[in-house]
Amino acid sequence: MSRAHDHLIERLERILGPGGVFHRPADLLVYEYDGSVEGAVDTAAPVAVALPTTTEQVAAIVRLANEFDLPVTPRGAGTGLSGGAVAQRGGIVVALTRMDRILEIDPEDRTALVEPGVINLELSEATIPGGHFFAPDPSSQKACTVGGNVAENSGGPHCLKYGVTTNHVLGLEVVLPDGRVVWTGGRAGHAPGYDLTGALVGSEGMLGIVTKALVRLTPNPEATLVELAAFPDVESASLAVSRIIAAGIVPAALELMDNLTIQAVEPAYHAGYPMDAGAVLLAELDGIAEDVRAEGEDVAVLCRETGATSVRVASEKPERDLLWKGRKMALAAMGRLTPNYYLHDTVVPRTKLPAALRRVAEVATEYDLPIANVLHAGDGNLHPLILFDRRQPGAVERVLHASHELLHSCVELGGALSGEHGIGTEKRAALTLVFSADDLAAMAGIKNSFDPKSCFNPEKLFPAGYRCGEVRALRAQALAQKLGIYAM
Amino acid sequence: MNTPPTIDGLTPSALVTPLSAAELADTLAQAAADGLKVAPIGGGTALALGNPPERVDLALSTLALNGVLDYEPSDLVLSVAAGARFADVQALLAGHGQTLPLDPPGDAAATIGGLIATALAGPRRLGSGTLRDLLIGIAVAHPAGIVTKSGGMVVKNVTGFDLPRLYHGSLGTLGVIVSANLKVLPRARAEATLIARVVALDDALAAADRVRASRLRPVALEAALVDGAWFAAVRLEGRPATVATLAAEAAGLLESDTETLHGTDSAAWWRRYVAHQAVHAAPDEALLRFAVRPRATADLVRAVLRAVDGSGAIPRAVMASVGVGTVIVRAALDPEGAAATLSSLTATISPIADHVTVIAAPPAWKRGLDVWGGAPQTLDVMRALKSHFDPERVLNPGRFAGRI
Amino acid sequence: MAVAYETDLAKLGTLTGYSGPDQPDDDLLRACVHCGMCLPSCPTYRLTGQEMSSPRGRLWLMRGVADGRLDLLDPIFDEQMYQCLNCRACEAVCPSGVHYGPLVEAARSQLERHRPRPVWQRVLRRVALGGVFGDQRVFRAVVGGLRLYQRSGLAALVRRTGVLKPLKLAETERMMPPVAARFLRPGAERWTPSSPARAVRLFNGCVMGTVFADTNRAAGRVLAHNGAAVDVPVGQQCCGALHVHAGMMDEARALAKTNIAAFEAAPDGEIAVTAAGCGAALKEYGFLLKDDPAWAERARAFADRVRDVTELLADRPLAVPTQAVDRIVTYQEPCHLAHAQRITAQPRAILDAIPGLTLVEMRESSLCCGSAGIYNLIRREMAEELGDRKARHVLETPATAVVTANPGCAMQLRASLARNGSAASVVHVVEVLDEAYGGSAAWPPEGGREPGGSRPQRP
Ligand SMILES: Cc1cc2nc3c(=O)[nH]c(=O)nc-3n(C[C@H](O)[C@H](O)[C@H](O)COP(=O)(O)OP(=O)(O)OC[C@H]3O[C@@H](n4cnc5c(N)ncnc54)[C@H](O)[C@@H]3O)c2cc1C
Ligand code: SF4
Ligand code: SF4
Repeated sequence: MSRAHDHLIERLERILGPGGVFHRPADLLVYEYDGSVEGAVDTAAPVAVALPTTTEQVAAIVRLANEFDLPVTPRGAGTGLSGGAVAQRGGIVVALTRMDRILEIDPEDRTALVEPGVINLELSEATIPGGHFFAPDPSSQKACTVGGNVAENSGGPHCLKYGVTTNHVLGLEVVLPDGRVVWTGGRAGHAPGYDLTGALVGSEGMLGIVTKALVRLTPNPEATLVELAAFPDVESASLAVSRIIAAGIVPAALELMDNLTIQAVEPAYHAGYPMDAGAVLLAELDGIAEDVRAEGEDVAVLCRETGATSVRVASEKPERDLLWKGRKMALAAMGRLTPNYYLHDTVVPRTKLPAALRRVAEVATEYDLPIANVLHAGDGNLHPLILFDRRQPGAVERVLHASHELLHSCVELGGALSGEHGIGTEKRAALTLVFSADDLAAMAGIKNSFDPKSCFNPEKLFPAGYRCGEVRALRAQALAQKLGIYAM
Repeated sequence: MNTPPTIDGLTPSALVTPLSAAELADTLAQAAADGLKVAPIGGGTALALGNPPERVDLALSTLALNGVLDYEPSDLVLSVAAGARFADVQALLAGHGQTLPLDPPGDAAATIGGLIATALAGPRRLGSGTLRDLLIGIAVAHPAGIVTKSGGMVVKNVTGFDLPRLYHGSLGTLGVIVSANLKVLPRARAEATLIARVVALDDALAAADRVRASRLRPVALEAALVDGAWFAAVRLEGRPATVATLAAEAAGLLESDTETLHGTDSAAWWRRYVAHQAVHAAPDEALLRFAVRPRATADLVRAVLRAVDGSGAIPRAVMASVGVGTVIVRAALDPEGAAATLSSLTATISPIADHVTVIAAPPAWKRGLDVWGGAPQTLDVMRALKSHFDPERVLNPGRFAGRI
Repeated sequence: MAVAYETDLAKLGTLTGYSGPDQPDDDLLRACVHCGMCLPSCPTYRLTGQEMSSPRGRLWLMRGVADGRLDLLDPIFDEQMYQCLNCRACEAVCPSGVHYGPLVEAARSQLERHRPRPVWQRVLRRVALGGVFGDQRVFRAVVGGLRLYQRSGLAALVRRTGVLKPLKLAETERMMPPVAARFLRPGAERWTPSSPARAVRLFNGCVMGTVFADTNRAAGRVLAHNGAAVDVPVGQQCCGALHVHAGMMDEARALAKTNIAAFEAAPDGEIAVTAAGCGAALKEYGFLLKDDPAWAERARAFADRVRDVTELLADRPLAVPTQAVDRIVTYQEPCHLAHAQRITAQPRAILDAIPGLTLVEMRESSLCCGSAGIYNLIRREMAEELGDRKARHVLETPATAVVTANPGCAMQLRASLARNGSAASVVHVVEVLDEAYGGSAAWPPEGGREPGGSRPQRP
């Protein structure tokens, strides 16, 4: 190890104490991955890992990184699926797992102030007894952190009604790339200036390190009803989704699972999903008791009209939990069927779901890969789950090709690259499928404004080799384009 | 419309109305090249918002960009050009049983682009959120002569940085919004409004608090003084039977002489109410907005009333959104020394309110103060953003927070 | 805190990859897709917030060794393999079905095989695990000595003088519950209802058969109450769980063979276990002996018979308890019951069936209490932190007793509760049920009789 490295570690230890800094090779080894699929995202180890416990420590680490000219990669629980927390250019990983206190729950304001390392589900568990919950509920909610949710603008089944993370973040304390600590937003609305909170949510750790989040809490619904409808095929289930939406009902969640998923889930968890169903639709309705009852009846009728062979209704918690269990454990059930899986995330306009699902089936045949479908049908958010065994020669390559194909077809259908998981390194190359160089330049403008030295989480989101040019430079380029010359 | 409108007493020398987004971008580029300052204009309902511009040479209207670009009712998404009028969009959606659940001031004439740029929201904010929550995609023309887009036509999307939210409330200082994609919602089947007339502010606040603590989830809940009378108002939506039940419960909670309005009557009442928040000020009045955390709303209203009284101003309307933490006050000031009164009024309340904004006031009164109530802590980041998107400060120079 | 750090690192040398028997199975290892879903369930990760102390991190380290990217003798590897409590909470929540337990056990076995440990450590292990736990007679003698110590007034004296403090044994001493007045010896006692519907063979266990002999008797009674003829087959030994956890596979296999033979001699009926840790180990005999052609089949057959006592009771309708037990209790899930055996509903169902009893759940009831076999003896700091966390959660509830189902947990809970000023008692599920059935008065033991059948064959 070089002198400079020793010096860096010594300085870090001065900030964090010896227990807060890791730098031996074996320690760094375990910070080279996140939750994303090997092959789709490269692993990379940092030169040091810092585990701060205070905002001041985070700021001091960032200033030190500036001094040493090292990149900084924030990290939460490392459950991200697009490679966001992997330090692609080495440098310092700042893991926020030790900043995990819920600082304040305010039932009257309906807010909670938390440190970034608080686990999503544990926040809701802490607030539910007081009458509220934290609405964003990614399937990884047992493990992922609020900081990670903010950085990825995470969603989940209940985002259909309640919206995604950005709709629930009121303010942020962030450490900026120059080491300053600032607050954006706050408890009161109408803060003057640009909505930097909005820009920070979903910025994948590239603009600032969130050290505190002020989040909105949602009152527990008075009543909740879960319905499970079995359909002969995915088409009829998708039709039911459209009809429910068209009827003016906004369920809290509307989840669809195909037969392959049912085949995996039911034997393992006995949630009561009919094994012979081509698809099941899980609808949750919540709100004022009277509305929930009436809407529940409507949804059941609509499902039957569109071909449901059975509809089960559960209003009590244990029964509801059982119906949900199949959905919540879907990944677990599939994961146990094959050695490896690739959990995909794409999104299309709701009405394009049947077309998208047909395309998924074609890709499955084409590449000879089983693909199961679990989707947030109400949002048009697909999660094709590609099952494979990486020990088979060429399997990984096939999976990657199939993934690319899936992305392409969703974009062709008017969709986007990611509904929840982010771009990271996983999909950065595909960004040009949906955005022009100009569009990217606007995003680069944001990056440059926060982080002119590109010190936070480099090699993410923007296509490889993309230089964050200024919009100013684009005028010349726009002109050139008009003349038929393609620059950049 | 050929005569340019006046902005805070300044009249641009020309009004340009480009016919396409590309043309608008070209106009901007041309203006930048010629060193002109541009004020984008939509419906012209909120021109009073902001600090007086440093200079305006050109008014740039979006009104010719007014088509619905894409609307798929079963997808519950809408793509609309920036110059489309909010009211027209609502009428179109209503035909399909859908709506944008918003009640911004300037209702009839306001354009979608203008509403996004100003981030103005009405009382419904309590139950339905704001346009910020509905924006799923946006296209913006920049002085570089380009149009950039972000987001998409899907309701859930994390592809790239979230620019729609950055542009929301940016008052046209980063670019001119040329179109927006919005999430729409099913229209409630029924609505009702309860207005409880009370004698004093405290009664209105207490009534509103009881409603807030109940199982009711009102879409709007106000404690207000309008036309000389105090009242609490509750707006409920849902299925007809449910609304009827909840309205009865609300009447019980309000505990006073309560009037109940249904359907279109209810909607019309709210339009009249929100009209008091319209972004303009008579020559003798100012429109102010105060914001605190929701739990401090009652303290804030009381403090505001005291301060207004103390300054010798006469409150024409006081509208508190309970549960949101916003108080909007329209007050008449003695024109003699009004600028000083306004300054001292905002100064008195600043320690109590997190944010004080002078939404509208006669230009002369505004000159001496920052209507945004001071520069944000992150001003340098904001300046950097501005200089990336609009390095020559072509767009609305000086009007926005921090006089960006 | 770290055992490995204390040893002289320079003397460890280097070694690339795994070799010899008991290597972590490569396919099992690669089943981990590093999704991170197991992180919050892991006690050591919860305390440290650091990736290497997480299941995912440990699996990645194991993979690092397999791939030659990390030296087998790297002190961090050693540290992490032993910092793990082997509580298997990670296994229970893993969406990919990663069998963590066998992997960490194999990794430890590799370390035991290839790592030069200081002589004193080796001797201590041999004596503790090989000598004491390896032979029931030695074990009974040691615990007998302890009982003498508790009774003689020596204990009180020692506690007062604090002589144990410098020896760091105070905590160990505090953990010890009063040792049962009479040990339960295999073959010595049995419980038979008037018209038995089935036979059940009780696995006695080292600690259960001595310190907690009365708990085993309670188990005998409640099973008999539910129609089973219960005996304690002779020839049985320690289950070998501690040896497996410590990577001492050969010793563990020898014990397993003895037990298999002993219970083959009593061939009918399920094998009831009152210690979750033993139960989990016994259920894994099939895996332990899978590569031994002479024993693989016998081991599988044995494992199929093994049931936790709560599992066995909840199997069929429970005889209705008659006596009210007016008490508020909370339930601490033993890791090896909840995670390794996935038994969570049955103990609660039993408690729910007891009149007068109120079960209030504490937070994190399935998080390890810090006992984890002999972990609390070798990783005191971390074990104490976990114990304190647990005690705090108990103190948040109005419970006056903590119900559990494993001797290690019972001891760790006792110590942690006492340290944190809680007066709550610690009891086994079957003890509460036994009380609701009227206790020992309602079912006097039949002592002294030898069970039928021939003496088991020594392997
Ligand atoms: C099984 C499984 C299911 C999943 N289901 C969903 C789902 O339903 N919906 C969904 O949206 N996602 C889902 N995810 C993805 C992932 O869980 C989310 O993206 C989650 O929000 C990441 O949180 P984390 O704490 O693990 O963040 P990490 O993975 O550690 O980091 C993610 C990104 O956030 C940044 N970051 C982390 N903390 C901070 C901080 N304090 N400040 C600034 N930047 C920070 C990192 O740099 C990185 O770019 C799933 C993942 C798994 C493994
Ligand atoms: S949950 Fe399973 S697959 Fe995921 S990281 Fe943990 S052990 Fe690996
Ligand atoms: S066995 Fe327990 S301590 Fe070990 S890694 Fe798994 S959860 Fe953590």
